[in-house]
Amino acid sequence: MNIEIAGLTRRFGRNQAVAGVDLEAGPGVFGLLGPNGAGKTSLLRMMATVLPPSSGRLRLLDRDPGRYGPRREIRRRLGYLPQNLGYYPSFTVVEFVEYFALLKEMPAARVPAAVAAAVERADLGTKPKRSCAPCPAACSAGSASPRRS
Amino acid sequence: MMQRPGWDTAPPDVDLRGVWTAVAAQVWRRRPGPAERLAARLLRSPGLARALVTTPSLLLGWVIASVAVLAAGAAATLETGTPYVALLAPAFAAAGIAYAYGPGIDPAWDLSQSMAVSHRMVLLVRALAVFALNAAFGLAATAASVLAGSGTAAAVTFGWLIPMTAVCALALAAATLARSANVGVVVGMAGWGIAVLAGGATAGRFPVLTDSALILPCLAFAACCALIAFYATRSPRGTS
Repeated sequence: MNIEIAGLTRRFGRNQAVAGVDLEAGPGVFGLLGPNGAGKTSLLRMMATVLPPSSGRLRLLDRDPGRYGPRREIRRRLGYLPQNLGYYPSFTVVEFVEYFALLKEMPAARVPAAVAAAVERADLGTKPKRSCAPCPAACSAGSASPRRS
Repeated sequence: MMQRPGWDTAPPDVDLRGVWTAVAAQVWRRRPGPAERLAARLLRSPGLARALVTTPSLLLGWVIASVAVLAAGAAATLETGTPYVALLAPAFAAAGIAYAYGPGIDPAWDLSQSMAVSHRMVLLVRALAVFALNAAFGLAATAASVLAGSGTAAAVTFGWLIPMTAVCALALAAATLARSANVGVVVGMAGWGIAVLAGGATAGRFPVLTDSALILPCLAFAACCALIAFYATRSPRGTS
C-alpha cells in the first residue's frame, strides 16, 4: 500500500485544516477534489512529509514518516510539486533539476541521465540551459517530471 | 547549442529518443569543480556538496558580509578596546545563515523540505563554511596586525573565530557520522558550552576566551545560535 491514513488531523492554531481523514491508496493516479479551504494542500503536504500531522496515523510506502530513517527513505522515492514552487533565478533548467536530484540522494552517476530524461519528458530539451528566472514554467515542468507520489 | 532531431524522421528500428537523451546527459552534465568534489568526499554526500558550493542566495553574500563585519568590528575595536568583532561577527554570520534559509526566504523552501538530505545538514555545512571563512580572514588580519604591532586581530582570531570554526566542524562531523543533524547540533553546542565553561574555570588559560566577563554573553550567544538554527529549520507543528 502506498498511502495509509487513519484519523489524520492538522491544526493551525485554532483552525483545524484537516479533520480526521481516513484514506488508503495503492498504485494508480488519483485526484483530490474540494472547495477552497477544505484542507487539500495541508493533506498533500503531510503526504509529502513536509508538514507533520497534529494527530492520527500516516504511513507512506509501508514506512513511518515520523521517524528520521524511514522518512529519508520515503523522500528518496517521493516526487512532490508544491503549490507555490519557487525558483533560483541563477539556475538553469538543468541545474535546478540536477540540484534537487542530488538533494534527493540519487546516486551521482545516475544523475545526468535522469536529469536529461526528466528535461526531455517535459519537452524542455531545446532550452536546457535557459535560466529559471524568465520561464518559471520550465523549471516547474522539469521538477514535476520524476514525481511518483 | 544542440538541435534536437525530429523523432518522426528516424527509422523505426532506431531509438533516436534514447540516443538523444544519452547524448544530452553527457552534454548537459555539470562537471563538479575540485572544491565540490572534495566537499562531496568529505561530507559523503554529493547533494550537500552541491548545496554548499552553489548556495543560490549566499555564495557572494558570505564573503561580502564577513569582510564588512570583520572590517567594521576591527575598526571599532581599535577605537574603543571592546571586542565587538568577537561578539558580533559570529552572531551576524549565524543569523545570516539562518535567515537565508527558511520559509519566505528560500524560494524553493517547500520543495527542499521534501528532500532526503536534511535541511539541518545543509545549514550545518553552511555554518561551518562561514566560520571557516571568517577564521581565514582573521588569520590574514592577524598576519597584517602583527606587522603593524597590534595584537587585537590575533586575540579575536585565536580566541573566538578559530574555536567557533572548530565547534562547527565538531557538530558537522558528529552529524555526518550519526547521519542526523540534530545529533550534530547537540554535540556542537555541548562542545561549545564545555569549552567556554572550562575556559572560565581555568581563568583564561583555555584558548576559547581570555576574558571571563564574556562567559555569560558567550553562553547566551551559543544558546541564541541554537535557537536560531532550530527556528529556521523547524517543521511547524500545528501552529503555523
